[in-house]
Amino acid sequence: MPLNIGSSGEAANYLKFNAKSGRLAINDAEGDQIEIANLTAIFDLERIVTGWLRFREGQAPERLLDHPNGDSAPRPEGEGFKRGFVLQVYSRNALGGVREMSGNSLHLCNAVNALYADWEAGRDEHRGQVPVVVLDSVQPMKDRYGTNYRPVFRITKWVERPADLVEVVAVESNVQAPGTRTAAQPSGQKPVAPPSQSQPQADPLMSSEF
Amino acid sequence: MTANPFERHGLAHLSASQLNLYRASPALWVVEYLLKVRGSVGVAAHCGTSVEAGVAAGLLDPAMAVEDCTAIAQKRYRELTLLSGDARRDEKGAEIPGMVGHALEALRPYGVPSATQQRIEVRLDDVAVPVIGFKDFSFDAHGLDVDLKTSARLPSQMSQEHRVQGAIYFSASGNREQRFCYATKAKGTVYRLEEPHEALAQARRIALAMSRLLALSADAAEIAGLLVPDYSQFRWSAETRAAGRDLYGI
Repeated sequence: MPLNIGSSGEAANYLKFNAKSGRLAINDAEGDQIEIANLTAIFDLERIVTGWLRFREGQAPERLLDHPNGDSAPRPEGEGFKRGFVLQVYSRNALGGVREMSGNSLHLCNAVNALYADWEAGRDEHRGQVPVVVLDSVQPMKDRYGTNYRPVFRITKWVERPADLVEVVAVESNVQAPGTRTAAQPSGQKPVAPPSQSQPQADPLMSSEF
Repeated sequence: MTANPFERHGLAHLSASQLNLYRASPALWVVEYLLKVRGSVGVAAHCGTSVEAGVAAGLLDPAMAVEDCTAIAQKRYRELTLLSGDARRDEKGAEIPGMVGHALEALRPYGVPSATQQRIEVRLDDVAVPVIGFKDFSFDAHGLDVDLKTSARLPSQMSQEHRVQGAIYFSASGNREQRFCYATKAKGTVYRLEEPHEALAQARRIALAMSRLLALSADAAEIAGLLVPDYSQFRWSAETRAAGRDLYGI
């Protein structure tokens, strides 16, 4: 099934595709961007997360992710949210480890959709393995916004999942669904501690809100 | 002809999952509940059922080693997926030990549950049939119930669907607090259902909408004529999609 997706964002360690320049970059420890000339890396498409993303200059990326069972999240309130994805990409040599790649731009999402379709077609023959992906080229795409670039990704081979990609990276929403009137904070709902064993609560019927 | 729009379609009761499905995809709900064509259960659902078996064993016997609880879950999973051709079977099965361990870590501090899989039934105002369900773990000593959910990813908050489910249990249990324990292979956490009355109002709203639709006709095909399926939703299985194409003609 194709991905339900549509400016790359900035996570702690990110890999960013600039559709305007057609170039890839990562951030270093000081926050400076370093261009990646040739990318060959493992794309963890099995754990790709989709949802509504918004990227605004100088602000952390805003996300309302789809439900883990596959349900699409409702479009958040506010302008600028588009369908997008969050993906872990790994290369010890090119990226220095695991990096997060996210985006909601048309051309990047189309490229990732195409890559995902290739992954879906091949995964049954490569159970338990992850794809090694190369950035083959970038294609200039002219539209009313001028020239933007679409990356062309290609799966070159399949390898065993590296140890650095075994742990599931938690990717969470930081935007509430529209109409949600729970007490949940933007960063999520607060977990509750177990009840005290020594002081059981009174009969809940007696303390009912009714 | 009965005046009860549910009974005229052979629906004696509703459930939280029915309500959630109707909200998400009325067209699929017609296929599953009026045509009675149900899709095959995926390995993720079998994984959840199996983990629950292991966690129940570990809660009812606090001395049972986590490894033994895991073995119970894995055995159940093998039984349930014996004939499954799903390519993700082994991969999903590998998540069971972590899920069982994290669920037990979160729930053993609650003590021994007073009941497991307790049947509940509740009437929603103006809805002609009851809503039924089964509470995973009841803790009478604390006046609360816990539902266990397994997931590939830990949610940052309860989903709308789980809130509806929790609200049904809340109402059916004399307004007891409802908590949901989420277990992944890497983590576990427990959330409390906040604002249950608001979620209960949602459940009632869905049931009333369903009732109004069913009241239009006793013929499922005629009702289907009012709906349009969206097959891109993950909920459609091969079986229900095929039935949907026959019913909706697209």
